[in-house]
Amino acid sequence: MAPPPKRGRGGGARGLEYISLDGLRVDGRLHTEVRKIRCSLGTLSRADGSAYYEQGNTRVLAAVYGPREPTGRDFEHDKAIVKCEFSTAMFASTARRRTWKGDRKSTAAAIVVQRLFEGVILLAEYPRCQIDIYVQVLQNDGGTLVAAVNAACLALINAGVAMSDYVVACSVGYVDNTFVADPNSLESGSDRPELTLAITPHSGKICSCQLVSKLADDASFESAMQYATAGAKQIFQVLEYEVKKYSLGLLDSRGMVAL
Amino acid sequence: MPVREKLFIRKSHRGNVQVVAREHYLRKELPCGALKCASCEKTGHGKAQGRVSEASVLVPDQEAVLRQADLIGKVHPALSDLLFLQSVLRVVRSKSADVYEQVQSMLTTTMEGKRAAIFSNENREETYLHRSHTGESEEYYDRNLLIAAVKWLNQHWTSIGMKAIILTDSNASSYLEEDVPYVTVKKICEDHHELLELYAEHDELPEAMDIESSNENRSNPQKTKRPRAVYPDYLPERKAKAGIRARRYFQGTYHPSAYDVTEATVTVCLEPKNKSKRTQVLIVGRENQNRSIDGDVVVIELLPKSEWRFPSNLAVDQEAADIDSDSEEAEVTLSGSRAKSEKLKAADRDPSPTGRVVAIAQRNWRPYCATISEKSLKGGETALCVPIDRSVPKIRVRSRRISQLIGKRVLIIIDKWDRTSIHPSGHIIREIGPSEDKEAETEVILIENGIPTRKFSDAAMGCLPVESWRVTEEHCKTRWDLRELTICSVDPPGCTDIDDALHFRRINTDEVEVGVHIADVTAFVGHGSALDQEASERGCTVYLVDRRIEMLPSLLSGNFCSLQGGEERLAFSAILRMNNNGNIKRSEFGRSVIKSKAALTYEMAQNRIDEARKGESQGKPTTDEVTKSLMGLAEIAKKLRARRMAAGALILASPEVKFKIEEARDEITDVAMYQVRETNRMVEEFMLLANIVVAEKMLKHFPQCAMLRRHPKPSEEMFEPLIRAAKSAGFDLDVSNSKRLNESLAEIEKAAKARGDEYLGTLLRIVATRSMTQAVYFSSGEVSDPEYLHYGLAAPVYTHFTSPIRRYADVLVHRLLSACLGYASLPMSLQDSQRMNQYAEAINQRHRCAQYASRASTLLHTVLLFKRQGDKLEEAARIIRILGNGLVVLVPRYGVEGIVHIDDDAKARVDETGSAMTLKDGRTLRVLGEVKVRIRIDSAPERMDKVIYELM
Repeated sequence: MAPPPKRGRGGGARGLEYISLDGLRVDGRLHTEVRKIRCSLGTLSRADGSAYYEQGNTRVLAAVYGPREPTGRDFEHDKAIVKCEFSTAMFASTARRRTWKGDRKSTAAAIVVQRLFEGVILLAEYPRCQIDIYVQVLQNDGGTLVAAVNAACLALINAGVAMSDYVVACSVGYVDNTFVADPNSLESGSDRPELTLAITPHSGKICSCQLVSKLADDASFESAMQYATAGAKQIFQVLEYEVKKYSLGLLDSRGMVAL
Repeated sequence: MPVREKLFIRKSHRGNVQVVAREHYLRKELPCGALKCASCEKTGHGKAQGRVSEASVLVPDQEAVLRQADLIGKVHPALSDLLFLQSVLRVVRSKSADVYEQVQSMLTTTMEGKRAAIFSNENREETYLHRSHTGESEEYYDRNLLIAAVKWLNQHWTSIGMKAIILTDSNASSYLEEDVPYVTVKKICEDHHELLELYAEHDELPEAMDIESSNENRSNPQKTKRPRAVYPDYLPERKAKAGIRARRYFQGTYHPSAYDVTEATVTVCLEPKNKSKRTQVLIVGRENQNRSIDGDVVVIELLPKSEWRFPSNLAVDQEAADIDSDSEEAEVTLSGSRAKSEKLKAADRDPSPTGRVVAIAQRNWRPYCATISEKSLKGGETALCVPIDRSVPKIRVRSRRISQLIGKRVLIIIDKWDRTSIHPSGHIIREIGPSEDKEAETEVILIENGIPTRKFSDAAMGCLPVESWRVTEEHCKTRWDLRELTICSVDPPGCTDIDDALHFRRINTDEVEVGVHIADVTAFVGHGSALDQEASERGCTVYLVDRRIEMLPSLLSGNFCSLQGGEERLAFSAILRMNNNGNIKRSEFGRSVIKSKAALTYEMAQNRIDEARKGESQGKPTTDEVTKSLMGLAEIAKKLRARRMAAGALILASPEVKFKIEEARDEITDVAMYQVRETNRMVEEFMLLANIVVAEKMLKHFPQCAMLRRHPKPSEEMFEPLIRAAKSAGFDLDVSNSKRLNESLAEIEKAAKARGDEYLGTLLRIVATRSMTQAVYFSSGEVSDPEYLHYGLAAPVYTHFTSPIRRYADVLVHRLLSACLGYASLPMSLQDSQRMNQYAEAINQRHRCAQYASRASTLLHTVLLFKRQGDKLEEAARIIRILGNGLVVLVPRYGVEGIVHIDDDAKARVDETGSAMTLKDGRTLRVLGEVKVRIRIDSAPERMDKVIYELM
């Protein structure tokens, strides 16, 4: 008789099971849940504003200098310019990197952050000024751009730069035919679509929306946006709480409120 | 939600040591799996929504699931409630994807009398254990997780009166120590004898044996004698891997030879520099084969050059090669069975390397159909099973009701193959039916070829349109409305799944319009739907002699998608504008609504054409529209065919015959040759044309991911047997290209007919077809341009577009074409060339299986026919190959082929090239020559009935 198809009993399944039979993701989250967020403001004393931001195992430090006089030659006479530098520590991932900034991905992320905050910062308040944002990724477990945006937002608040609203980012991955909010490095691969969305939580406007790889149709794009917005709102609650706590602490230290 | 950090230390491909950190979230609300539990969440988040409710719940450990999956899956009161732990499933999945799938289906489907639930113990805060990374072994950690979970569950469930009991299949000492309730699988089997046949035997852990012997047999240790090892031991995995790296050992897939089971081949790459060069290594004899079964990935070591040899040209059955005894009783010499092998020495060829199996990289065992052999039964509960697949050795099984199962077909799984036992041992999964029963045998054929016989799932049936579905005005607005055209379909009689229809229209004196209308299956089967999933798994409709296993539910295949006469149907149309010579001027594709004017059979269409021609020659013009267009089509088809032949398309042949089935008794009464009419060729011509045009269009739009079909050009070597065969019949064959081959085949056919040999041409064509590889589907991105060629059809690009009802490849092509035309965006999985190629590979596999199954079914029915005709069947046969101890013959009348064994005392010698054999009585038999054979059926219950051919 003919050689039968290969349906052997040997051999384990390949790859990861991204969603378990009980509906849990590889790290035990549900598909709508974002990772645990910890953050603090004013971590660096020499910077005008700074923030340390942790989203699961992705850790980011952001520092803001400015508004200050332009360091370079270019400036605008009626508004401030925003500059951003995005770097990743060589020890951030499991495999040690050769470069720490200036590669294509870092440059792209820097431009995204810069454009995004140009839209939110009230630039006309600071003519002939420059605002520098430095973001360094200390540990990378997926979603560095999300962490960079959120950290930069906190650092800008810490620096007292006038902004029209918060900016909160959240990404959405697509594994095993389901959307997952805030994918970690296991869940985000180069072969899968990933949507990174930044919104202003109060007005609900979209500041930036990036899609890596393609989604099948419009309907799935809509639902990806919903996941991202819901995730961003979860993150926003943490950020707002942290900012309020920090502000209250400041007021308290000056004896302006009694805590 | 608390979070823990998990740290791993990993070695990368390059050998660097890396530290990986992963988060691990612990939750409080995860369901414990009990239906009545008040404190946990009621519904889970995933697909597994089952809940357990009995007072005692079995929690299988990893060994129990991995070894006893069939037993655990059985619906039985003793195994009614099962709770699977996440930690156990994680290990199961990493060890065996197949078993995991089985558990998965148990968890996601509801069954009467069986409740299965999942408990995510590793993510539940109370049952999580932190693994210290100071040398705690993985097994130890997993066992602790299980114990912790069961302990917690028992505490958690006290209020609702439920109890969790570990179900184990290994030594239970650690459970005893920890004082958790447990039960062994063996104990359950002993309490419930009916489960015993599903119990998979396994090696007792040495630890467990020690305990037993220390308790009972310490006084007389001589009593437990160690059985003799029959096979050499396998190398440990580490050593085998190191050996492969050092190129001392080689890894490849093990395949026994089709004619001789004592010989097998493993294809490996012997030269590291030339990766594409593959060498076939012979593995001769049982000891060297060392417990390998067809499909296993094995690690082999080459034998010294002095032991290299030529592939055998003997036909040896498993039966002849088998040693019919149990290893425990008899001492056997394993190499004795093939003492008298005759080598076919060709001076210009080097002997093939030989090797022996030193380790198994991966077992590829599957469930096998087998029959319990009566001979092996010696009282007691064990017996040997003879698998239907000749390349699989006999399997020892145990069952209480073994005596009732004699002569029945059963489904068996191999559990293990010890070095102390000649045969592997396994267990029965289920009984299929008595042998010689047509139903049971057909099921065996389907199982052995891996063809799914299950019904369509409810989810898939849910994707179907309602029964009252009709073509609406809405459809006509968005599609081309071609209902007015004179469209007709021509198919074999009794065809219910009509997937193509044609139309013909004369535009002006120079130009005509031909429409090829294909059923629009994708309108009903959306990408990624449950129905699509099911169809892609089935791959194609399988045609057996007395039934067909459909790819799509019959509501679609026999009704809504079938382009029946007089019904409005959705179609995908290719409208080709061509001149009178059949050169295409313009081609257009589009979705349409059609109304076939007539669904004809080949015969009906032919009669219409013939009558009309006769009428026209007498000056009567044809008035019937359908007949007129048929004539137009036939005219163009002739020109197309002539052009295709000129380009070098081959006319191939197969020995298949058609059964005449007597409806009333459901019996086959006779066979007949397929009759090929002009109309068969006409339809074929337009289908080929449509396929080619679609392939070109698709390739233009999606150069990277078009689903195409290619037929590789055969190499010179592959034609060698054909050339030799032709030579022995006295003809020279030119195989330099397909055109020359076709021409010389035609010349030979003509010359042979002149000599009074009507069948020689067809026979040569059959041999030619056999010497070529099969056409396969592929994704255009995976193969370089010149290899797109379809050799047999002499088409530079080719695809399948015309039968979406019965082939899944066509469904994919329809989707691609829709995307070309902008009707729908292309689903993501089809945009990736590699994914597309995976689809293609899977479809190729399913097609092969379908082909094998339908051949096996034909054989089954031929055997039934022979049986009815009794013993005295004598037929003319043609020799297609000469072996060392026999002939491979083809009986043209029945389209069957088999081996004629020629005993040593009748045989004289085989000539050098293997194209002639001289018998003792002076007769010389040549390849392609005619012999008379006597056909009789040898029925033995333990295998499929065998057709025996004897030389007269």
